[in-house]
Amino acid sequence: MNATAHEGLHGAAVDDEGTPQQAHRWRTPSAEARAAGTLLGVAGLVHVVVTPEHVDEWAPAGVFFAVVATAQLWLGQALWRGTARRVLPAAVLSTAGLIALYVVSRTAGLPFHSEGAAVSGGGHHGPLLVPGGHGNGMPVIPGSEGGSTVEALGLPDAVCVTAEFAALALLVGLMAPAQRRSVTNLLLAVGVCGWIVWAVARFT
Amino acid sequence: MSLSRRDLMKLGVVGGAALALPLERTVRAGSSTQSRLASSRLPRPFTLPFRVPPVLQPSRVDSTTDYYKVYMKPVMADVVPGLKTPLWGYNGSVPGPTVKVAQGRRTVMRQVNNLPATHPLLRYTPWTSVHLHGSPSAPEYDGYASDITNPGQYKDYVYPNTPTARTLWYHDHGLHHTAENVLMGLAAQYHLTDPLEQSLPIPHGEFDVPLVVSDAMFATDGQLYFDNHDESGMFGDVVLVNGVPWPVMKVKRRRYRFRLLNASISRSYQWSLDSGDPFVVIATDGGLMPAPQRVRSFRQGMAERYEVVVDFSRYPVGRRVVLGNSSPKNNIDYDNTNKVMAFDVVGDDFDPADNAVPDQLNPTNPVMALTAADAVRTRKLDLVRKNSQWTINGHTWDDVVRSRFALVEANPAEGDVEVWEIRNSSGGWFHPVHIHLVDFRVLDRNGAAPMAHELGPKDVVYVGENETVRVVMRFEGRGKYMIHCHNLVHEDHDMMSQFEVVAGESTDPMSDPCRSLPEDGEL
Repeated sequence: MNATAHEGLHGAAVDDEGTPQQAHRWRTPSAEARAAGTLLGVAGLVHVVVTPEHVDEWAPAGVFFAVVATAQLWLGQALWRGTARRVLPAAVLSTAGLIALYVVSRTAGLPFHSEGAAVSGGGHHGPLLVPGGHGNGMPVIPGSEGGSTVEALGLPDAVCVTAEFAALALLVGLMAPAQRRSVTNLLLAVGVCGWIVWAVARFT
Repeated sequence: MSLSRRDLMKLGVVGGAALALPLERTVRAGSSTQSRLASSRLPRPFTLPFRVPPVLQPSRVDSTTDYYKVYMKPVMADVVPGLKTPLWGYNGSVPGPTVKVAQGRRTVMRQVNNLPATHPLLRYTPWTSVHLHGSPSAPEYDGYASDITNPGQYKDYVYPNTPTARTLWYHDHGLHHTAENVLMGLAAQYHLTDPLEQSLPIPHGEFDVPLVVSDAMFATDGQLYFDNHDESGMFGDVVLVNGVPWPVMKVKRRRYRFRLLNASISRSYQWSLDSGDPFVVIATDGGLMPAPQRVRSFRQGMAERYEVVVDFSRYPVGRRVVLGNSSPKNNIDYDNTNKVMAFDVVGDDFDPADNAVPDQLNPTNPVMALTAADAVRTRKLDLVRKNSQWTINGHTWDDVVRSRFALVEANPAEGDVEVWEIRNSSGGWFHPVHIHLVDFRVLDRNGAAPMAHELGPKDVVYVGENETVRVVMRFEGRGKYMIHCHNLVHEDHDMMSQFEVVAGESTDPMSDPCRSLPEDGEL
């Protein structure tokens, strides 16, 4: 096991004499790893809870939620058991990706959502054909965002994204310094871009 | 934890975006929502006077046809005292003016869409399609949902007026926003008379009274308050009769005939009089029943019409009789939705003519002679909530459009008699189903006889929770016609499909499109 791995584990013991089969294990997962595992477990459970309603709304969305829930629950237990070291970069990037997807779905709307999904508050599949129609005939009910592809913000969303973000921070902390620097720079760039896009959309 | 202060700052930028941006948008969207008018600011029931909608006068008549011009336009209405409510009315009237025509005289009705380019609050283009509900109109004049008239356009609708006497109503049927357009006011009665109905000694003239019942909710600024409860329905805390909240009507000590139209978007009613006395139901959607039916209470779904006679001669002068609503299940009720209007009995003189209900009304209506044995086939319609949409046999109007209007649920030949078995397997909602073009007879409900008040010709049938209703009808006409739930929120999202009566030649429902203003010649 190399030094980088030791540093990335931040006190989590490695199998110094570990065989290749054991190289992905931490001997004793740190408190941070277990905390991240717990938070991802919370996020995974939230995804389990909301999967049925997404299946009802649009089956592919339900499948996506089920896959995410499964992945998060597996990762959560792996972090607890100390077997997640090899997938740490993938866990960081996928968690960051999920958070980004969430932000887009609650601010601008997801482009594929309007194509095939039943739109929250709109109830229709995609842009509807109205021969001869001028403009948009779909009412937007105040507060419900009917006809929009932007999803409403609910308590489960807030719990889930908070847990995911906290887990992300902990997972980044478990990475080796070089990796960590690259990942935090990438996340910073994404965050700055998000704020700029928001400011442009909001104030111009 | 080996995160440096710099790392934490970088993560803070991302985390701030992740947590704050959705929240900011939600708060911003929330700030544009309406504030509902408190119930304490609503008028007290039975404090406002009853009124009857105006009668529409033809702009021209000739030997065969009456010509009418109707302008759909905004109006600022006084509904809740002290507030102004922007509405849309046919000729600026909410409800619209009543049309009265005699059987056999054709009607041409020019409907001009002078509505704004977009709804001021809901931001949609208010295209319209006017449906004369209860008329076997040709497909191109039936208010086919996709046969739309945009603001700045108009269309001349032709109605044959060939059926038996009945209470019809004309209302908007525009694709995607029928509920909103009707809630804004685009609905009115249309009375068709015939020699039989005129010859009967039932109440006529001033004692033949239209009651357009609807419900609405209001915002603090007087505007209508819109909430479709996640596309399940729109329910108001104010019950309106002819546009007036809980009105009180002065009645003389004799019989009155009330043409009850449930023009609510999603609310059904269970009527009763607080005196405990019965209504005498004399007519249903398709006109006079074979025989009157005495009922102390009856259920009325959206778009159903019932003509009932109430005898006020049994009450002393000064007595107030309240028309109440015990509300079928799966409505959303508020403090005063259990009452509708009041009748104050006065001692004024009255004309004693036409003050009876004969034992027979229209015993020879061929629709009421149909039986299941006459049917050449039985079809099933399943009303199902699927993928967040309301569907008929799994189909939506969107499916019809995407099929280029080829998709049909049924294709009877002209003259065929069919039984349709309409099934609502849910306990969570009811569906008043309207089959365009035809009058039908209700055969049974969950295998039991239809309710007493349904023993007349119908074009809407209340399919309640976990109910299966069988209806029988003969298809006369040709072309494509809609079938839909008359909970207009369900219809818009998207419980509507169609059938086609197959005949030698068919007519495209969109074969006579609207034209752009200015009007092309005088009507």
